[in-house]
Amino acid sequence: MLRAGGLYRVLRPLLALYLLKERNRPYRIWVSFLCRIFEGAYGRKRPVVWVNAFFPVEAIYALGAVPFIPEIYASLVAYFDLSRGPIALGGTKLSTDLCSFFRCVMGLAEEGVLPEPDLVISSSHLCDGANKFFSELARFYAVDHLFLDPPYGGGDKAKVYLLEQLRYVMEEASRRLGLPLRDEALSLVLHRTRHIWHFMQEVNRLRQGRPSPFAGSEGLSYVAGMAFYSPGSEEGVEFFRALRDHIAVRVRGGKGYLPRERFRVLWLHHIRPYYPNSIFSFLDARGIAVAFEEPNYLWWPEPRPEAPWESLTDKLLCNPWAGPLERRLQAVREMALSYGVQGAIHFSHWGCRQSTGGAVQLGEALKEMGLLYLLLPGDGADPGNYSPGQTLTRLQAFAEMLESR
Amino acid sequence: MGCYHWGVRVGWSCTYLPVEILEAGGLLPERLLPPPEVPKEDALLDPNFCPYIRSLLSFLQGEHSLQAVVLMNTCDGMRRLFDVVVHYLDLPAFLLDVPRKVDESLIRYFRERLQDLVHWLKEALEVEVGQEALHGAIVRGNKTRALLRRLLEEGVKASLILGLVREGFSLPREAFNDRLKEALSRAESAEGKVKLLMTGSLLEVVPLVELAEGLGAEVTALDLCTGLRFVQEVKREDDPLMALSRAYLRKPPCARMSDGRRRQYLEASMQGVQGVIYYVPKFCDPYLYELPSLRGLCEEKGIPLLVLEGDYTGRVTGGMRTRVEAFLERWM
Repeated sequence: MLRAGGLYRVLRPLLALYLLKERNRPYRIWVSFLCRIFEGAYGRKRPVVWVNAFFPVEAIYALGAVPFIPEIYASLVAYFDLSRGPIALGGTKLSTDLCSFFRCVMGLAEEGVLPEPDLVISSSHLCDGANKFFSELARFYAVDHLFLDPPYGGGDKAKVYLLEQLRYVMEEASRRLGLPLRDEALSLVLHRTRHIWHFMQEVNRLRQGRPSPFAGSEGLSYVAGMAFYSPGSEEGVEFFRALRDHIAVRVRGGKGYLPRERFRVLWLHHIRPYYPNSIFSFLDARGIAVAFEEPNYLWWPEPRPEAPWESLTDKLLCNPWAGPLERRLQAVREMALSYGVQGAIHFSHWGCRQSTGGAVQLGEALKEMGLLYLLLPGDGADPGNYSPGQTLTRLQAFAEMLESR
Repeated sequence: MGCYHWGVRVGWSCTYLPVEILEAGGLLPERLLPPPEVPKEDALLDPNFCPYIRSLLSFLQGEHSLQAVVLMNTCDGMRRLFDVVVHYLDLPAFLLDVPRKVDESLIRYFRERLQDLVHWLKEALEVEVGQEALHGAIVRGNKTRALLRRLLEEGVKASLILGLVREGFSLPREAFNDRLKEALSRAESAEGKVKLLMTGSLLEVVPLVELAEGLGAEVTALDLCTGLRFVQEVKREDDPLMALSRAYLRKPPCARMSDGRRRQYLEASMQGVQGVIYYVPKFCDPYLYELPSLRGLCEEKGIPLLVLEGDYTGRVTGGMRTRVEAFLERWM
């Protein structure tokens, strides 16, 4: 039933009605956006292109195809506490030493739950396993796989090299899918992304307010989801405008998301555990606000619709989580200062080498700034890899240190 | 011939590095293969990093004779190791970016990165790498590769070749070539009852190959990071860095490369073999993600596959021995 495109057409208004009282407007836009994407992906009226979370999704919107990001689907599955089965099934093909989001996707593919792709595209600049894994997915569905291989460093030559690749990949995608790729379409999409960029900038500025007006746990779920999935889409513009308005009202009213904010912390890493867990309720109860989170840091320069290819290339090359660790250190220092936090929690997702690799240096950099730092090992998608006791003990110690200051 | 800055040893980590560049600067390249008994570092790197990388970090933190290291942008783990070396160790380090695909524009791109390495050697170690010295180093490197090709043609035991290659990782080029010539003069071909492809990542357990041979197998291909992935000649070009870039990018690809050539290469390597042994260290992303594809390929071809997971201990564990014995039993 999940594979019927019409289901999501019916669900969209029903969910909107259901969520009317319960949730804020940005959340309702997110739900509606997902319904539209799933309707398109399962309905298959237009070609479906699977991309990994770090691929510039704008290029797919410009092509007129339906983008499908399997990692986000896996996080939704985990959110509904349904990831155990797919992860176990995926584990029969992929080693348990690897990322559980990918294992979950593999399991879901095996179960036949996911919308079938017409093409798979990935980029390797942040997560090394992505190209290998997406290549495996392409083989599984017997479709082509195209990939971007962004260079390690920056500089003019790296930019030229990546720009050529991006053009090549998208021209190939256009040819293989029989969809025209027009510069005007890409400019239009970048125009929307520019709006999103400005709204994100305002959102991030508003979130510097005290008390913290918006929950970091939500920043790590649907806001981060939209930051990955929506750039270039109309809903993206609508979502971030609504989010800006929502937070602005709270800031004007001096309303924090916690009844009494005692401390402010930063959440490091793109993800959080999406399955039911007690991490955020513990932090809430102790008055520890997650004031900001890494995935929503606006690292890319303002998009230029007049130079769309160059803009997307810049977005890829500027990513602070790729390239030398110094970039991420600088971004985290900046976030720590902007949000006036007293500490940071680094969520070390199992199997994520790119993120956990710099965790110690991040801690030292933050400690040098006089901040407390907690390294919290865990798993974003696999509840079987979550130890509530150990996690709470660590959080408890962290909270006590904050309180003793 | 370049004049050696004797004693100036530079560690390197991956076969995509054209060591000819270091040799042309008169440096002695030394493959970074720390003794397996070195403890695995787990304070600066997360325990879910591959044991080779953690051993390597411990090794670099301790006493060694290296004056610098050249690491490669081969995986997330290696990149983060580089960050740690730069942050915590007083050891000049360079990270060489290697593309994952191969075409003319990428060959040009890689050539530029090699040029960066040449500049860095001058800055960090005050070493000049001249055109003529590079041409000379390529000629000597080609001699090594020709000798290795001959050893393969003679059908010499894989364990012997693997041992020689390993020895060569820390020998000056001429000494290594002499060693290969000597081995060639004594070479005896060896045939086993069953032909195997040994493939995978970095194999520190050389006795594993001896074990398979001792049980009657013949390892016909050593597709390993510490094996023989590159025995082709580097063709002469006016620009030696371009020649090196072209040759090294076009060498048989490892699992980190993602352009379909790897699969073709594996398929070709499977010709005529009856079984495949895949050796992969724990937490090694490129090879672990490749496993489903390899498994599918073996199933397609009806070739049995044995997967062994290593922990950089350098030992053939009891479990490994039993599994290799059980795997080979079907042919004995």
